[in-house]
Amino acid sequence: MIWVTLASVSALCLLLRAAVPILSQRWAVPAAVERRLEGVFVPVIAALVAQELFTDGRHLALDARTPGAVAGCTVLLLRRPLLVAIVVAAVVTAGLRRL
Amino acid sequence: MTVTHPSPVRDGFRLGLPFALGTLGAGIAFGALAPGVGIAWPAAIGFSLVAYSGTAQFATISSLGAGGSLAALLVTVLALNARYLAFGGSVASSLSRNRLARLVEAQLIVDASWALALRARDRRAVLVGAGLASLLGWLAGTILGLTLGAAIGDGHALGIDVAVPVFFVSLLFEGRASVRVAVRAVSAGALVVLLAPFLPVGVPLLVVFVVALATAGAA
Repeated sequence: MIWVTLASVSALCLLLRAAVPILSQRWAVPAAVERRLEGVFVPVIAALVAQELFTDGRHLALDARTPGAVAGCTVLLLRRPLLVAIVVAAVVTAGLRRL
Repeated sequence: MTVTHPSPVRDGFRLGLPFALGTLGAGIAFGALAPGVGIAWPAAIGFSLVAYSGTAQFATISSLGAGGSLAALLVTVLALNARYLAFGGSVASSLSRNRLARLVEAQLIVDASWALALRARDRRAVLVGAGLASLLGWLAGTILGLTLGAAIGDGHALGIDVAVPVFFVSLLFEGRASVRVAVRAVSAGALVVLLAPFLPVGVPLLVVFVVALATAGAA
């Protein structure tokens, strides 16, 4: 079952990258469609973050990851690398879980 | 070391190295998290090699962890990576004529390699060089993360699962900021949280996708 998930996500990524270069001689994505799809990126990312931090399945939930993620975001705001942000977030999360 | 023959691909590789550090870090987080949601190490490495997409792979971890449906995951990945269609379109004319070579070169399109290629004289070479550098970082990171995850065991106790939201937030820092974009982001987050108790897992994300698509491009 997990193989189906991994294979179909991989196939979709392959397809999205190859579609235009392979078909471009005859077909191009209309600019309006492109712009519309680009406008979806930020809301979907924000929704993923909210889902990760504030829900657990079909329940609303808060856990130690929320303060951890806030700490990680502060590190990102200070223009530090992602890995540093993840380590700081993980340390805060782990510390709170141990309390 | 003197370079006797100019090698634009190697130049592209060098240009891509700073970004490869970024993919290395994200790759470590992905590798450390993958076994926890049931992705065994050969599958994790294969996934990083073929999908080669942090957004898609972290969305997969998120979906597997929450028990969401495959259809919802695929729509999410489509929404997150539709930009590849645009990237592919803007470099298509610079790629090799040979169809198989084109296919391979297109697989090296990631945000960094695309952005560097657009500014280069030899777009194909920079795309390939920088794309390979990022891929190398991503694969090395995945393997390091898997090793690390196996060594420390319980990633939950060490808070490694927080890497997923932090990774996604880091993507929000890359785009142009505006009040309108911020309002859209906050509304999308609120919508998902409000709908979560009433809909099957993953479906609130679909609703956000549809609403965002319907309201996109209005400015």
